[in-house]
Amino acid sequence: MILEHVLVLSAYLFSIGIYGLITSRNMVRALMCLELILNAVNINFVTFSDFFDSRQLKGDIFSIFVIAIAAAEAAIGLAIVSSPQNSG
Amino acid sequence: MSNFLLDFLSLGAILSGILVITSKNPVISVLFLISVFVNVAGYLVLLGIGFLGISYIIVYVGAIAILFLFVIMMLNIQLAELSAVGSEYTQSLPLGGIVGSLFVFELISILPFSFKGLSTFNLSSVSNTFSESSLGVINWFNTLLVSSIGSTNDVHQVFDAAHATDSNFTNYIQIESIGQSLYTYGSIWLLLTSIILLLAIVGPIALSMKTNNTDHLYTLYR
Repeated sequence: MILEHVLVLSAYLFSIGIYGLITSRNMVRALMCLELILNAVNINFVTFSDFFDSRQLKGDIFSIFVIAIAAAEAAIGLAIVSSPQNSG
Repeated sequence: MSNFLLDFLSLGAILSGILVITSKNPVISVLFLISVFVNVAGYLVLLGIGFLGISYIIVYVGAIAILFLFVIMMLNIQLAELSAVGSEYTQSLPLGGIVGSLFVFELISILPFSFKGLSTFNLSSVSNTFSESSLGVINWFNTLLVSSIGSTNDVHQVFDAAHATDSNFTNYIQIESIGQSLYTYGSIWLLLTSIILLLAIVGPIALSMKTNNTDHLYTLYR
């Protein structure tokens, strides 16, 4: 019961993120919805590793890398957004 | 008790996620993004994964959301979506409905029948033809449609009591086990991630550098 609970939460956040990413005309809002999508993916990985992989925790480790990559692309994406204002 | 709090945290996360995409002010949008992160961090801590919950708050709220706030307040983003009311929101709802229904289809049809072959999925009694996991899912949908009480965690045990993870806040054995897999099998991934983070440092500096001609960096290589 609790596994489907978490997966439904992850599916909701993913769908909301995709909907916001498609229908946003502002690039900063699109980056925020991309963070929502990566967040939902993290919950999914971590749940499956917690329930079915108690020994090696491969899903936990992968979601650590997803957090790091999300931080990196948020930084580079916001630099791309703010670069015409700095020198244009 | 923890099931009650799990419901609250998941409802808070979903509500904050909806308000991220439908608020007009970008600062309010970032605040609701912070609320999503805090709700999901609390959810992960209640689920037993304390390390990832705390690292969500440190990395996502402490670094990424602050970065978003800096950029939004520095840029004076024009509220271009102020005019997107009414029909412009609802004309892409069918597409969102299609994407959402894909997930619902997967959860109903594929997920209950993939539990049969797993050895760590410890069921309480033997059942050959009708798996108890599908009973749990059908019972869950039944409680969604019929009643509002909806607590069906007595139908089957998803995990056995030795692995009961929703009663630990932090667990040093868990962090140790993450470290033992991360630094041996995932060591090359760690090095690659360090190079990507170096790129994330150097890239914005190169993108937003002002030279004397007030051109971009690539014009120096002409």
